[in-house]
Amino acid sequence: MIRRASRSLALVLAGVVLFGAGGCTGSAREHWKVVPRGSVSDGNLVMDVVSDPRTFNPALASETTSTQILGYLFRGLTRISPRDGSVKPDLAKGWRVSRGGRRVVVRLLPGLVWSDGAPLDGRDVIFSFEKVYYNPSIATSVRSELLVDGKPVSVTLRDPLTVVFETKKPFAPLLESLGVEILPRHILEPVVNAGTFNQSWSVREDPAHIVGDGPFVLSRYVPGQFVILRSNPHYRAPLGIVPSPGCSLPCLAQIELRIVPNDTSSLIRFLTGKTDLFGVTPQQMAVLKPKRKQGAFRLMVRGPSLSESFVTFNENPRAPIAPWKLRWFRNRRFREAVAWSIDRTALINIVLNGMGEPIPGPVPSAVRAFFNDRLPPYRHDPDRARLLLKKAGFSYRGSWLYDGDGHRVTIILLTNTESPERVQMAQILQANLKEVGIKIRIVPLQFNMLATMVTSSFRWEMLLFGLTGVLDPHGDTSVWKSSGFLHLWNPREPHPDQPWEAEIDQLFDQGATTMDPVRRKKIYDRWQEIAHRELPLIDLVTPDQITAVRKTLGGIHPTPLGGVVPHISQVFQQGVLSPA
Amino acid sequence: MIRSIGARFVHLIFVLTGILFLSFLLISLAPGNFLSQMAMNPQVSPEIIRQLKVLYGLDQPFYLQFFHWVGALFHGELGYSFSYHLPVMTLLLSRIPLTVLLTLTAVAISWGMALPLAVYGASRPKGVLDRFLTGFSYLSISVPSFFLALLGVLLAGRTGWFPIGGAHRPGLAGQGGIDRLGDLLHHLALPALTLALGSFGVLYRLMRSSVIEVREQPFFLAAKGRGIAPRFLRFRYLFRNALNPLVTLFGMELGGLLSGAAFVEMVYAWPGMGRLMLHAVLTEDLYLVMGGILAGSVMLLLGNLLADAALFFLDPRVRERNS
Repeated sequence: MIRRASRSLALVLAGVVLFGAGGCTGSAREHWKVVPRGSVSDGNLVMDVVSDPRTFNPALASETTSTQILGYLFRGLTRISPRDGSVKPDLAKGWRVSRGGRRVVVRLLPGLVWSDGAPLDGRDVIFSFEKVYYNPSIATSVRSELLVDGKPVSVTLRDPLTVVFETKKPFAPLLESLGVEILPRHILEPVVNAGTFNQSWSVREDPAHIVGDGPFVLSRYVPGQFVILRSNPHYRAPLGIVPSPGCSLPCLAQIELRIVPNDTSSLIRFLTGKTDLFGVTPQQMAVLKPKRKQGAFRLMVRGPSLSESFVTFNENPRAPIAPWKLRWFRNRRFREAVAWSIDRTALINIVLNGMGEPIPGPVPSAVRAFFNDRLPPYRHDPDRARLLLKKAGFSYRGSWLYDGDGHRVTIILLTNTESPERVQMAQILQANLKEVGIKIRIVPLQFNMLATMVTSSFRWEMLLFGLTGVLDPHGDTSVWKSSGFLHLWNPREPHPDQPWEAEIDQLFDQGATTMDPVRRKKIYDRWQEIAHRELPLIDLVTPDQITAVRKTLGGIHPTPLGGVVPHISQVFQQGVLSPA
Repeated sequence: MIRSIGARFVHLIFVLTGILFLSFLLISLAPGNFLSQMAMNPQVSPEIIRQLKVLYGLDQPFYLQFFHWVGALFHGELGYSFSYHLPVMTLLLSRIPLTVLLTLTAVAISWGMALPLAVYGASRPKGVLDRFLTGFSYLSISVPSFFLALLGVLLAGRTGWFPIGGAHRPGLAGQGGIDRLGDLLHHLALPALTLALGSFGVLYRLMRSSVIEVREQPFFLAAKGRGIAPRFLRFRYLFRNALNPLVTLFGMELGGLLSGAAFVEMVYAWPGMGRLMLHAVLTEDLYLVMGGILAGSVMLLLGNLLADAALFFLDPRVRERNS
């Protein structure tokens, strides 16, 4: 949200400024060449981040900058492969799943040590789960990911290097959940016992006191200015992560994260050679594309992102909206007509500058392990939409649509103001739906107000929104199960309202307890087919992920799920940037 | 005078209490709270949200939260930031010095430039310099400060003369004080100039019209007619009397010391209060917002009090009225 807010500020005059930045092309200072380095083992990586970290405590972190930085300092037992989303060992050497998926025995890598030299073993794992993540007096949102049916997983120590996780029922995403950060017992146990964990490892903490197990350690943090990380001499890489030629892991000596809250300032900093990596929005491509040669950087388009946008209608019978509108929204043909009315190509071309793709169903194509590629896309077909609306009992008077009781079809569409892209999309939807006779009134609201209306007062009709993308469909249980608190169109149903909702409930229950990946894929394929047919959420488009990378960087490979850095420890500086 | 300032001080405490209560009420009436964003994350369960609400005290009625917070104020505490997990006082004290440095530098530059130039311009109205400065002040008033800041960033990017972002280079640890001071001034130059240019126009126009007005006053013409030395005339009669309307403005500038640079701080990535408060407001970090409002209100009220005191000393008519 913070990022969006700062982007809104920049977007006000982005056109003028980007034009100005584009005008920098001729400047001699912006022609660069890459000079090879003598050694690749002592390089620095410089990046901008949009805001200050809020905490250096992994259990308390919930926003992007903190989690990004802590991702360099801490590790879990497992990690997710950024290439295909599969679960790989991190602190673990391996694991054995038994008792039909109800028991997972994890074996740790031998000889692991914390950044202060203390040994890291199974006792740290037990401490992290039992004393921190499952401790109700600790303000951690991570706990949600570690509960199975609302209950903690049993964690026991078999020997210092072996930890046993047991659940009452098989739980397929358990291995993925074991990626939560393991914390140092020898440092934090006294803090937990003193009841001060919620204040521990704040941003005012002495960096020397923050003990991690990741490839880097915190060296210095100056509020509002920068965070410096240096390599962890005790780092032991996970299995399968091999050093880049000429260096031991981590290859970089230092990572410098400069705190720059404004996208335009960050863009100019990248163009003037001050940073090595820059996350590009589709709108910024117009500036960056022509400057690739002079700027000694590469533009890596990594394909569609995890983020999704959708529209949904309020189908909640308890909602305080007009009963005839509720009848429209609960009519499948009406929703299908809306799906056929939307011009997704226009959304991509106008809002995403041509850099994106339509999403046919609830799983974006970036999540290859679960994406159902047999779902046909809904194209822009107003004639078909009009036909469907007539079949659904609607009629036309002039160019406007009326229902069987004579009510003109007018709908209020809500979206959040923090996302200029969504507001722009809403305007295109308004024009698209006007073509089929539906009048849309757009009401952009501040995020918290929108969230309250959607989840508490239910006083809304149509919503253009997006939710945090997930790698495993189980993460969307609260959206798709009829009892879910984010089952937006009809939340917390006491019983499934529709037969297809009952089927989706069953599929999610099966998906959570099925350990065989092939069977799981089939289960979630079926869910996507139902979602695509019934359209409680009408999926729209997803932007491409684009990163600009300085040519001096090595160990860079575009991946669908993990950016251009498959593993931070493998990144190295193979050259230096010099004015041409 | 002392009685008058004492009365104003009591009045100030009532006004401050009113500001704080109303602010707390309005924030509480706004839909949602710090946890609303978390509640829209499919992976965070409602049970966790409920637990966090209790931990943060957000389950209590607003008046109880307010009285607890006011109670903490009497112990010198401003509450606890939910997002930073730190006392608000610690956070504010880490940011206030840099914001005050930026705004005071900008005030020094703008007042240092605008006042002498306005006196000079008013002494030769419609002259070349006056025409140029009047045009320039129109531009200064009409261009928003954040746009000026974006142009400043572009200038820094094109020329490489100024750094973009922060108040220090990271590699300065262990270097001498002079180097550190030089680096700070290098980082400070563009943001301070941007802010100064933004307020130059108002100051120039106000001072210029004030000087022209005083120059036509009978007491000034009489003094001039008596053949008082021009230098003495300029400072004792002209400058001092023309300053009256600017004293009130100076009080307001003091009030804006903490909050007047937010946009410029955002664009230049200057690590001050503005950014901290913007994040706090956007995330509804209740006590951090309240801490910021308290600091800003105290500065504004003190600024006004100081302006009134200055007017008392500068203007005999005010003294007369108060006596």
